Amino acid sequence: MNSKKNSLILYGFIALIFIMIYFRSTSFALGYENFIVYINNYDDGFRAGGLVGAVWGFLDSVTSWDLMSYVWVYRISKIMLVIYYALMLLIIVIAIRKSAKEDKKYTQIMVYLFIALVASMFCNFISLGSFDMYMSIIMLLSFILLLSGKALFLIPILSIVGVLIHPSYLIKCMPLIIVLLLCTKTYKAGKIMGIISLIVSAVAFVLSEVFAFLNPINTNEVLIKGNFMTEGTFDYGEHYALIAPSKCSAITFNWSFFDRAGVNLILYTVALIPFVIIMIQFFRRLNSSLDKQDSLRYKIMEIMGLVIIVEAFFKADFIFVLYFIIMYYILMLIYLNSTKDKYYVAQIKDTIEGLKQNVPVSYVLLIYPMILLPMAR
Amino acid sequence: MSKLNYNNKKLYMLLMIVLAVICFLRYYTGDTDSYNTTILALNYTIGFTSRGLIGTVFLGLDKITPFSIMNATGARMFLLGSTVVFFIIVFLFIAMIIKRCEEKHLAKIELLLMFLVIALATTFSDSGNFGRVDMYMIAISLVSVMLIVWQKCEWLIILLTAIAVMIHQGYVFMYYNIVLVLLLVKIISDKSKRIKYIIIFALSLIICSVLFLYLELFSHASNGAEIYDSVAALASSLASDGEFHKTLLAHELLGVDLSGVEHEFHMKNLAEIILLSVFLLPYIIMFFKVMVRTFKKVESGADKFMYLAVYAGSLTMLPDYLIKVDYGRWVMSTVAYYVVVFAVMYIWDERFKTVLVSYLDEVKQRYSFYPLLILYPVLFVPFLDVNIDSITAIIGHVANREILHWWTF
Repeated sequence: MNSKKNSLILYGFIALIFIMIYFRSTSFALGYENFIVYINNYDDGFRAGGLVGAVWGFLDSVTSWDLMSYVWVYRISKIMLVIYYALMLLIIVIAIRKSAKEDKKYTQIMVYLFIALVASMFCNFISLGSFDMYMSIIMLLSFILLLSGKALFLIPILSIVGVLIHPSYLIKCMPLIIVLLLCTKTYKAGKIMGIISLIVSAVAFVLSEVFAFLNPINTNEVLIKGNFMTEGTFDYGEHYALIAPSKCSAITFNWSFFDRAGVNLILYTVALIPFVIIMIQFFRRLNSSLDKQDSLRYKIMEIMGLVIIVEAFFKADFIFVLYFIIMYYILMLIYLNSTKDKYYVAQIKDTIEGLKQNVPVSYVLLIYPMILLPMAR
Repeated sequence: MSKLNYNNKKLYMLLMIVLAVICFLRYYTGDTDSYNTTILALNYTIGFTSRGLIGTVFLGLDKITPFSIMNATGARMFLLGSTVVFFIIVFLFIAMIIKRCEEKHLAKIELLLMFLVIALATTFSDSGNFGRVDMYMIAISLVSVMLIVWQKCEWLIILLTAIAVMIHQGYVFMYYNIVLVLLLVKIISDKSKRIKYIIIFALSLIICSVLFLYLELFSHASNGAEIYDSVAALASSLASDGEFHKTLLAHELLGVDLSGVEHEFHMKNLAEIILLSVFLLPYIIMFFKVMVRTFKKVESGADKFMYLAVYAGSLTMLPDYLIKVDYGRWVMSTVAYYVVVFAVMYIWDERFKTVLVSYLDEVKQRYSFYPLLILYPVLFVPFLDVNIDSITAIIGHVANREILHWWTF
């Protein structure tokens, strides 16, 4: 079979797997908790996490559709989920195409791991349409620009958009973008873009957090709009309305680590121990192969993913923290392998070949995350 | 058998056990369908009734233990203990296959057996099938297969298969085929012990057929209406939520024929099996390609008959597919049949192994997405009961609501 036909079947097969993962994990409903994404807007001045709501409110005012309703919010969330999958597929296509011919099979293995680990994240009715879904989409868009090396000037703009969608974008998503721009030598303009992105997103973050304090969303507004959108069945009630302002901020100081979410995080982390061990060994071998002048920037790349853990001290949605850590490392591996980074290409090849030789049915490492699906908040 | 790879084989076994535990914990909720606790209330104190053996064993355990187990906790512990024993038997079978496989051909059979582990561990931990009698039937077939492969106490197969029919007469369609087909392979390929295997085959078949006919047609309790309330009360006390399976008791005690009320379930099953066949089409094509290649290598009529039995053995499931509605269980039994029979043929039959290995090597070389072919079927487990699996259930539901309108629930 010629390689073009083979590739087409591969991409078709991956699309089919996305569809199957969707149907396996979906519940055909949208959690009321995420209505805040659409209710919060800039009508009463600038607010943290108000961008999606502002755009949605604008579209509601200029179209004849009743967009401020459950049906439409559900529809747009599903459309965004399709976009999320489309972006994942686009990353896969670009990554495989850009890889050197002899390294394509290793890129494919990482791509399969990427699918198995994160594809089900936003199918669940509680995660569907959340701030984190929109942040993921912006991060994937930025990553696509980086991977394809096109329109890099858009990355700072996307960084601002990400932080305006939700301030936690700076902690959850920016480490990957900044590291790939500042610590790799793929593009000449990379460093400038990296510094600009970091500055503008940091400014947007500080502004958002200040306004989260100065101009929090009105709890009555949440109740009234929530009830209107759900035709009086907004069952989260006053308690939800009270915590709603903190939902739009990245810093809420939630220390209740040992609640249900915390236990889930610990269990999921324990379940992922095989991958943690593989990654630690991978980085140990990588570090021993580094030239002295490259050592610092590669070590920064290795540890920056752990910065995301900071968010776990502020918010209780721990599974999203874990999700973005996984995204950080898997996308970094895909990027460096596809852009033919000499250290990573060699180490990825050695690690995969080593696993194939030493682990009977090494495919179990690909299948294993699929069994844990769906990854849900 | 390779000594060199022994540690690798041990590591594989350890990996499979860990994988099974993770799969089990992933789906285990502690709850089970009322069918699986109600069946424990049926025992031979009400007569030689169908599906009464497990309940009789449960009652016997209650008598010999110093504390009462005739309650919801006792029932759950019994089902959990049975599940552990079931998986020990599954792992004994896998160890037997792995031990007898050459090192260079290990990888393919390991993959096949891994899928069996995942399918069984997820299916029998899910609340719909946790403690389902199917696991006893699979265990009995696996023990029978081990006796055949070990060539020890093969006469016990006659007793074991009869016990399986007494556990659930559906055994003759669902898992008996594994034993019969492998006995047939022995009859054709092992000339020195042919007579012995013919006798075992014939005696087992006669006894199981007689038992099946009796249990299916004549075993319903004659005083069913009188004892219904007491059995229902016992079944209710065995369930954690106090619910019992009304249709099971109505069928077994009152002789109510359920086929008339299952029409819509049949339609649902039809939609789901069509969907599953489409989704798994690449594997169906691969199956037929391996089958055609095997037959091309066969010359004698006896061998052709043997391979026909191996490849078409799962057709014994046809009556269940046509008459009954638990398609998730039927698909599980079809998968179990092919994995178990193929695994045994892999270590027994050089021709079969050569064809399978060369075909899979060809697929691996030809298609760069080979790992996806391994990854993809995992999405379809656990197998459920009336619904085949969660994907076909949801897509079938949407198709019915929007286009088909075949069922109303």
